[in-house]
Amino acid sequence: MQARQHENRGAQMAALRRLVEEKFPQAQPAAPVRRLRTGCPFLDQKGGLRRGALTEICGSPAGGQIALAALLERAREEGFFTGLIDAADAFAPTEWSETLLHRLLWVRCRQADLALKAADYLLRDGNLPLLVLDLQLAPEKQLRRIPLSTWHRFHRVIESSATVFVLLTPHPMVEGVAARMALHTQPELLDMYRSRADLVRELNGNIFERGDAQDFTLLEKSA
Amino acid sequence: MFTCLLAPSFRLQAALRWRDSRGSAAVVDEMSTKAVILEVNRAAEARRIFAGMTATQAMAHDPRILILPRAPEQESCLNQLLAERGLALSPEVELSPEGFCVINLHNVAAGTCWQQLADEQIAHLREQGVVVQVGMAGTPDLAILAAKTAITHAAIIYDAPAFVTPLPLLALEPGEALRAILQDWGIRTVGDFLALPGSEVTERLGAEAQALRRKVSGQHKRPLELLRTPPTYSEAYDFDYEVDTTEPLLFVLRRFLDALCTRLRTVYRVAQTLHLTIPLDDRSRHSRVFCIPSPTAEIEVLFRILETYLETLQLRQRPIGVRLCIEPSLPTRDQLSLFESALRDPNLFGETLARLKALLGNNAVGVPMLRDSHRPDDFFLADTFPTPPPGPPAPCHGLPLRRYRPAEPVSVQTMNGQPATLESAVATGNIAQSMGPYRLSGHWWDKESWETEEWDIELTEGGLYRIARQDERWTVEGCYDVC
Repeated sequence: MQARQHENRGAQMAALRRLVEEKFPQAQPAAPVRRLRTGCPFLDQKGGLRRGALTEICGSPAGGQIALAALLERAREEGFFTGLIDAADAFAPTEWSETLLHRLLWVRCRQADLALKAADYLLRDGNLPLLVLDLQLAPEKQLRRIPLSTWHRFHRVIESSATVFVLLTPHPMVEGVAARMALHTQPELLDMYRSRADLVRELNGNIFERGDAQDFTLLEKSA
Repeated sequence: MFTCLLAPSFRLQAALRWRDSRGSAAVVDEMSTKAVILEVNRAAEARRIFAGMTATQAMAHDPRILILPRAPEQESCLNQLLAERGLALSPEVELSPEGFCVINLHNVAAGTCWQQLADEQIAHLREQGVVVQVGMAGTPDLAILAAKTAITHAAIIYDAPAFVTPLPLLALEPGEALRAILQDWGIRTVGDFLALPGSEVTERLGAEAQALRRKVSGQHKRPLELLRTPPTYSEAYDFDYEVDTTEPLLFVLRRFLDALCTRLRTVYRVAQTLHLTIPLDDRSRHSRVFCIPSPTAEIEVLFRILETYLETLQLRQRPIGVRLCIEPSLPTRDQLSLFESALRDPNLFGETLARLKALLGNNAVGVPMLRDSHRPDDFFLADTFPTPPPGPPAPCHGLPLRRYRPAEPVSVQTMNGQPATLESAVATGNIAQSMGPYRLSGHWWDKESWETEEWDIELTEGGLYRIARQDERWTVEGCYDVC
């Protein structure tokens, strides 16, 4: 009799636990955040780029390209493939070492909405562990037309995967990002003589990451 | 021992392949002026329709008869099925375009039950929708004769004289003249023919009669005309009418893949390339070759590739048929280096690339590869990831350029040979600093010679650009940074 009561109580507790898990998923202990270290001190400030989440890197085109250089170099070192969705068809392969290009899938778009569709295809495909959507040189008019639901849809697609999805934007514009990195770069002509590795090392700015209460407020304000 | 796999009513079987026909059916020779019937099925024979009649006569006997034209491509596919079955038994296979193949079974293990082996061939081919008659005998010609008589079950001939003696003379298919002479002599069976003295028959009736005697003697093992080319994995189908949508194409392709993948798996092969051909109603053909990123014999994977392509395909003419050919290969296993990772699902990735190409165009997706040239922006896009060279990359310097495609025309004022101001749709202002000129040229030895002069500039209001002068015309090639 006592044993049966004990069993019933156990079953009730398990059911209650399941109910709480379903109703309040945020109350559950968070799974450890998986990250990709890039080798760039600035991008790795918080441990690297989050996997299964959107990361927005905003700022000048020069900063975006230096960040891209860091990511491509990391892809080469780790031996994984990268996808670059180029919304303005502006990527110049001749400016890069051939070795870095061998693991890069370049998707050339002329319109931001096509770039978003292409990104959607590649995110759903899930074969590329690192995807970069470059919207930096896309016309402002096209960027303003992007519906906010796009970002939420991307978030839903990517959250269960291990893909790192980086958005290069001219200014903060993406809703619901896990991290936003605002670059402070002031390139000058003499930078043409400097090695790209040095430029990557000196990349700096501010990082706002979801999860840290103080930073989260800044993140929303910055958007 | 030799065996013969014979597809009875070969042309009709080929024409009826992929069709569900239960009633009477006939295949006609479209090239003849009166559309003469070549072969009929048993249902048609039951309605007193026979080969040699015209299509009109056949329809008078049975108005619902299905009359089909000969389908040479489907006949070829059917023949390949027979060849493939033969090659599964022995490398020595002779294939006839008339729908039979002879196989030398000398390498089959001793003690094999011939009856069981023959039944297995019948069952295997029946699974693929082909009806065959199987005959086995000590010589190739006797095996063919045996197959022709094996209507209900496989015929295994151990005693050649006992088998051939009661056969009607017509089974040997003598020529018209020889047949007439023998009939005049009262020769009705092969036994009667063999009873004639051999040397005198040859003297009076010539080489043809001698060849016929050899054929049934059971002593003469003629050499086989061996099949040299490997079997092709292809299927073809002609629609009765022009189709307007992709559904019928997909339906037929699915059935093709079912059959072809089963064949591939039987011989431990995978599909490396798919060749899709769609004949159109203006007698032209639309063709497309699909390289399978990770060769496979999975029907679903191959079908998805075809489906993705057909979903976005737009044709000016209507399809009247479909052909699918698979190039097989051995299954491969990739051995990656310690820190190298492969694509998780290469076929899904190939499908995604096909979708991207349909969305953006064929030359908008790929792996950028540099050409061996100093020409600015000279590259091409590869379809697959190449093997990266070992070792670290050559160090890069400076900021990466973002190109304007096409380059923006710009008006540039120079001072002391250096650009001083510029005015264009993308950048306007005074130039604070400039670096250059970087002179580039190439192909000076032919008509495609080019020469350009590039400058990197910084505007006083901010912004780094690359401008170029070619034939006294200035353009903004791209930007490093914009203000």
